[in-house]
Amino acid sequence: MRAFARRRATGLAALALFAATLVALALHAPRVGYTRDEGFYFEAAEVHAGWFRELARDPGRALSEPVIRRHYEVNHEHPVLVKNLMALSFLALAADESRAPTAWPPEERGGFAFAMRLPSQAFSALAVALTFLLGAAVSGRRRVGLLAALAFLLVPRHLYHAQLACFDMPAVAVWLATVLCYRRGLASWGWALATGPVWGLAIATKHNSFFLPVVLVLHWLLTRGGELRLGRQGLALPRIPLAFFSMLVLGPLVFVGHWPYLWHDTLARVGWYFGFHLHHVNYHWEYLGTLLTDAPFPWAYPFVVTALTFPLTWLALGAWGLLAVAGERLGHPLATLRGALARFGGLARPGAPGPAWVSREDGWLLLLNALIPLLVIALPSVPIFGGVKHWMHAMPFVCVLGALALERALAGLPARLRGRRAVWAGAAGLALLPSLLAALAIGPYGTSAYNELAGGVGGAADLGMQRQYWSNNVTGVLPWLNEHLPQSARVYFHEVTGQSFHAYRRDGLLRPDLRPAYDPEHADFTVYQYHREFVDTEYRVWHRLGHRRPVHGLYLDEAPIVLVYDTRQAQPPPPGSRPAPPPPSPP
Amino acid sequence: MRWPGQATLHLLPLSALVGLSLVCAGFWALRPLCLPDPADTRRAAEAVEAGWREGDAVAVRPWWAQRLREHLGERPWVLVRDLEGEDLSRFARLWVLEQPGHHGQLRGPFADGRYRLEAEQEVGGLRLARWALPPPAEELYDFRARLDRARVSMRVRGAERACSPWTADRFACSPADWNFVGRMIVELGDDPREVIWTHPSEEGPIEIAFADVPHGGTLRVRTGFTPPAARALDGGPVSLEVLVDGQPLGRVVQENRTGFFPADLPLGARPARPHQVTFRVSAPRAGMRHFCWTAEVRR
Repeated sequence: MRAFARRRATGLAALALFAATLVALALHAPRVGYTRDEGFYFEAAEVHAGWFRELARDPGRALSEPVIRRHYEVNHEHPVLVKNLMALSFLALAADESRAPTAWPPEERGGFAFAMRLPSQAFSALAVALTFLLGAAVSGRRRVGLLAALAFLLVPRHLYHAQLACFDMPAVAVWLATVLCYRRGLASWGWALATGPVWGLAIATKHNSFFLPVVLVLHWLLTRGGELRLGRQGLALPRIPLAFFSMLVLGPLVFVGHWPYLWHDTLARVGWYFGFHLHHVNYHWEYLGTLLTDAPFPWAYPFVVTALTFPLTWLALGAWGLLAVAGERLGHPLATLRGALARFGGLARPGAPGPAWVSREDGWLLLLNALIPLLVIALPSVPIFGGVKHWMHAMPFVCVLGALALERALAGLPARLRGRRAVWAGAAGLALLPSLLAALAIGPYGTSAYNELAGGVGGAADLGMQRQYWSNNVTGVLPWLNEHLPQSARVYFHEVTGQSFHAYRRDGLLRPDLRPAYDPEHADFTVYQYHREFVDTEYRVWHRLGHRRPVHGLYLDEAPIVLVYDTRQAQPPPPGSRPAPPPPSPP
Repeated sequence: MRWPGQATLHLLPLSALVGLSLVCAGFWALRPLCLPDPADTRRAAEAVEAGWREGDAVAVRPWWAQRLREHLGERPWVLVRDLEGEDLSRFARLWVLEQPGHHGQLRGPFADGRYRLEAEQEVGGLRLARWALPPPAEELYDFRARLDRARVSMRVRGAERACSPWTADRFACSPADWNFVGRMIVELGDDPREVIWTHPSEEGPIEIAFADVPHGGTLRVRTGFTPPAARALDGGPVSLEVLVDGQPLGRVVQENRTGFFPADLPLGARPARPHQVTFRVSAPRAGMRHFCWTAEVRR
């Protein structure tokens, strides 16, 4: 048994990390409110669950085009791997056909969200475990992997996304899984073949992974490009990795195979899917005091937002690791400069470079994966809304580079020093401590998290950064509403979707007698969420009230996040104004 | 000079890492202690209420730290980012509540003696200051406040077409939901402004006429476009023409930029009796022209 554990220590450690992360996420998640997107995905997953029921009852009918369309047309701008898993989790853990969605018994409250969020939390835990495996693999040391994994998880924004029934953290996990398969596939037929289906799962999760082949082909060219020959015998290419063929053939098969909606009218529907994302609208977004509305967007956006949200210690470690590995890979010019600096500083004798941080292949793999996701968003034509979640799949690689940097920092300790492990543990713990404290400070309000460089939420408000998005911060005022609002009050929850409103009622976070209103003009109370692009909503409330006094609010670092207005005494709405209907689900 | 040994230099990265981690951990550990207690804000509000006088206004620094509105939201506020550059000529005194770390940052008229610090007190971690401003301008007539008394019409192909009677907060000039003259609070530049919304129409100019406007020295007009309007690349100018007793007094042309821009039109040369003042809003291209304005007669 011991021998087995020793042989499989890395795998067992990854498994333990996966399990511990999953439990931690599942336990903490009920504190996080429902995001706008989750509302749509909950709804889609419930509809998809209907198809699985149909499949069990009458498979032939379930495969017909009308039945598939009825169950998969909803939210068909995203592939359905995660939503299908949500549907299956819902069927296994929470579904009860005899019960109306609002009639959940108190003892089962939270069961719906638990079931819906569990699959993506499992992906998040997988991302943490895979970060561990990546770090351990490239460094040959499990502790590097462990540190990188914890550093990745404890980034407040990551921790927040890790709990949601969304696709961003699953996209990180499957990106990492594909990269790890490709890496091992360079020396193994089995892993090379596995790369294709795993990448298929990646593109079945989110469209970010369509950029992965670019990363991997670049890696191949940079590591094997020297073998390219143009001679009398013609062009001699370096050996093309088997993984590429697998990705080319098996990836699309998995993509189409996982998504019943594509089983009929395949080309048109795939075309629509790509068209939707190629022409995706940009939601307005505040950045350094400016509301970004239309392209071209500032190329520095992903770098600045990373610099203001990633814990500063890990920003520094990641930058050091990235620059050092880039220096190694970019060769002579940088090495000469580094040598000159080293001579000047007396750090090293000229001509005596230290041991390499990682192998040449792994160096490029880390660099490309750490940079390309950010460079994609840096393209001025690419929409920038959503912040870090759109390049979060770069961050495990940044964390591995950071963990390698910490190893390098410890290399400066005298060789005769005893207790080096304890020193490593102390340094690693200290490096993780600010992330942990930041995560505790921001609590469930992850979209408002900013780092020490920004100065926290208040500093970010000074800088004019996006203060929040996705609406889940509304949970900060729900207890007050439950305590103070009169019976059957009509409440306009700004930015909160109808789906989330009903979910809050169902899960006991909001009193069941409260009724939704869909504009402030026809509400007894208005719950406004500060967004630079929506300030006119609050001004409409001020105008109708004749004053600017909220009755309650959620403040982070004294910055207003969610404000509650009593609009019962407001002047009547303009003539002809009718209550707004519930907003439809997006396509 | 003795250089540190190579072994010591090798420890620099680790030392820097430890130092940075400690600073960052300290930032998060100490930050809650630096934030004011909500009770401090309430006590500051009580102090303001106790000393309140007609002509006072409230502001906070930084501009976004507005918890004080929960207590003083019914008082006049100056809710702008650039407090130093703001026209405060309507107010006699300004109460400023500053958050920790933002003390003493006000420059311009707050620092050069034009505004005088009358009183200040610490309330927990907050600092409450009262500034005496120069004697306020004497306002004789606020056109926005009396908008409901105006006669509003459109001039379509030379003929006058009356807009609807005043209802709630506006005169509707057509069924189109943008085509009205009404009171609104909108974002102009970076700040909320109480304005008269008058989206021009390509059918013809919109006229807003006020009778029995007292005579004064100056007609102060402020105009601006909302940010979405100013973002329209093909957005043209809007013209606000002012007629007093049927005679042109002046014309303000608002170019396609957001903000809230003042202009003073002297009234002095006219007979010192009540006037009929008409504002005529027109634009050659009316698409996305979210034009807003205010005006007042000052002595």
